[in-house]
Amino acid sequence: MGKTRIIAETGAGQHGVASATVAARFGLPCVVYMGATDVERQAPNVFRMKLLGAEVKPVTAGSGTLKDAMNEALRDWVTNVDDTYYLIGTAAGPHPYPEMVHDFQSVIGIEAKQQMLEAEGRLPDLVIAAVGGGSNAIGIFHPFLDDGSVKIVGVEAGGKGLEGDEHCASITAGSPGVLHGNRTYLLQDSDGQIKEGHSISAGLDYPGIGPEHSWLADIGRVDYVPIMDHEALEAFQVLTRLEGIIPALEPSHAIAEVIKRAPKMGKDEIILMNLSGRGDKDIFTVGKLLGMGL
Amino acid sequence: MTARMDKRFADLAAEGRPALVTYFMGGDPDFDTSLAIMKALPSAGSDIIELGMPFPIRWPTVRPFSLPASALKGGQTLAKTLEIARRFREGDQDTPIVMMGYYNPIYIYGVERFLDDALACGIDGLIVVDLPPEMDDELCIPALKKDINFIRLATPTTDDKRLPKVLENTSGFVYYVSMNGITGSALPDPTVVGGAVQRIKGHTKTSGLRRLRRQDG
Ligand SMILES: Cc1ncc(COP(=O)(O)O)c(C=O)c1O
Repeated sequence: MGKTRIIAETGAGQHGVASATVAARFGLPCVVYMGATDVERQAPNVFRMKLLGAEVKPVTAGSGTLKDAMNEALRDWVTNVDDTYYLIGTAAGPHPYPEMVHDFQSVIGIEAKQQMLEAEGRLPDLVIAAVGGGSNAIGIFHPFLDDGSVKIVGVEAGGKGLEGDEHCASITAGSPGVLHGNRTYLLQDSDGQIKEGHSISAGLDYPGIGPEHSWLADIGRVDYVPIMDHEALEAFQVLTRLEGIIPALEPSHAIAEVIKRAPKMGKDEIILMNLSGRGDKDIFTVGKLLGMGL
Repeated sequence: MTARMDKRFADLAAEGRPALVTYFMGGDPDFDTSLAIMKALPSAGSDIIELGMPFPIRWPTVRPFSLPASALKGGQTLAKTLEIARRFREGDQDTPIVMMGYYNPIYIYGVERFLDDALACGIDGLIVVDLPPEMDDELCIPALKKDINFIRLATPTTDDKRLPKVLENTSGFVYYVSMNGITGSALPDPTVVGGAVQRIKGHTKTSGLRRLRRQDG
């Protein structure tokens, strides 16, 4: 493509770290836009990106979260399009990004399906993932979409509850609109202005959702449900204690939904959940929330 | 109303001078001040007025010096932006008004309702920066059918292959974003811009509106 510079936006910093790693591998300069709020609550990933040689640009506009980071990255891109490639980190944004991200992330689902068939000899009964912009979810959902026996659930950030504005449940509590070059469910007011939203997890803190998820919700193939901040926080601790795995706050939302559903399912039924990231990046935030200074 | 803009360009051509098109953000810093700004523009030399519809997403092309946040803080809505135009129109029948912004507020307002209200408020054209020609059925064609110009953006990356598509259903004038990036953030080189304008002129023989009328018979 002849591009000599990479830019990315990031919420939790996972995509920023991945982009910085790729750029370091190929010796390309890398600028990562990250909301100022997220720079603070995901400090370990900011440090990782810097170690990898990337420049992290904090974005103070709006609520200083993923939406604002994406705005700034798009502005950089239109200014430097001649030499810059914009590596979008989620299944949202203008065409063809949602489609490309969907294709690349499908590796998760393809491998999971293969491993499931090897280990269990059959398909799972339930596939579940947390949804921010929707990349880890579309990746694991995709190879199962045509398997009618597989129930699929996407978990949105219910934040502090769906009644007010402090959540990011775009499908459950939003309405269709146009943002960042795609028509999808959004958090917006009656005048079509985009709301800021809120989630305990930086990666789910986005007032929209990838357009394919909106479509999957509309056709009824995937159920989207909200999980509140406090439920995710609880699930974060439960998984750590029961399995010795510290999950990221994003998939902690999916874990909380699994904890709700598993007791109602048969003993032989199989749940496949995407544990999309580990929680090292979140220990300072969680420590603070639990009243333990680190 | 397309006739008002056609007349303005014809009159300017007769005078042998180019049009000065000026932009301001509706509702910034508040309703009354921005209405006063708009009323002052024609006597200050503005031939065509672009009225910004605030949207907090400062995405590709909207200028850094227009402050949607300050307008929105003052409670500016799309209905109030239309009201600014209506109040201006009471005292000025000649200066074309082009509303400029993002699609979502129009989509939520309702396209048909918006076009009817825009026409009633004396709007002559629309610039909606996040609707590419692939989406012309959304707003562009309905606007042209109601006799409102749909003005498209071309940029330095809009090459000769893409230009015909971008210009296909456009009318009124072509908005050339003379540099990559946010307009107003740096001054482009006038010689480069001159060359680009010549290139675009090679593609603008017939406007979309005229073509549409011809198709309608
Ligand atoms: C670990 C983890 N999971 C999930 C997400 C949500 O993003 P997406 O919905 O695109 O998978 C993020 C985003 O930063 C993340 O860091």
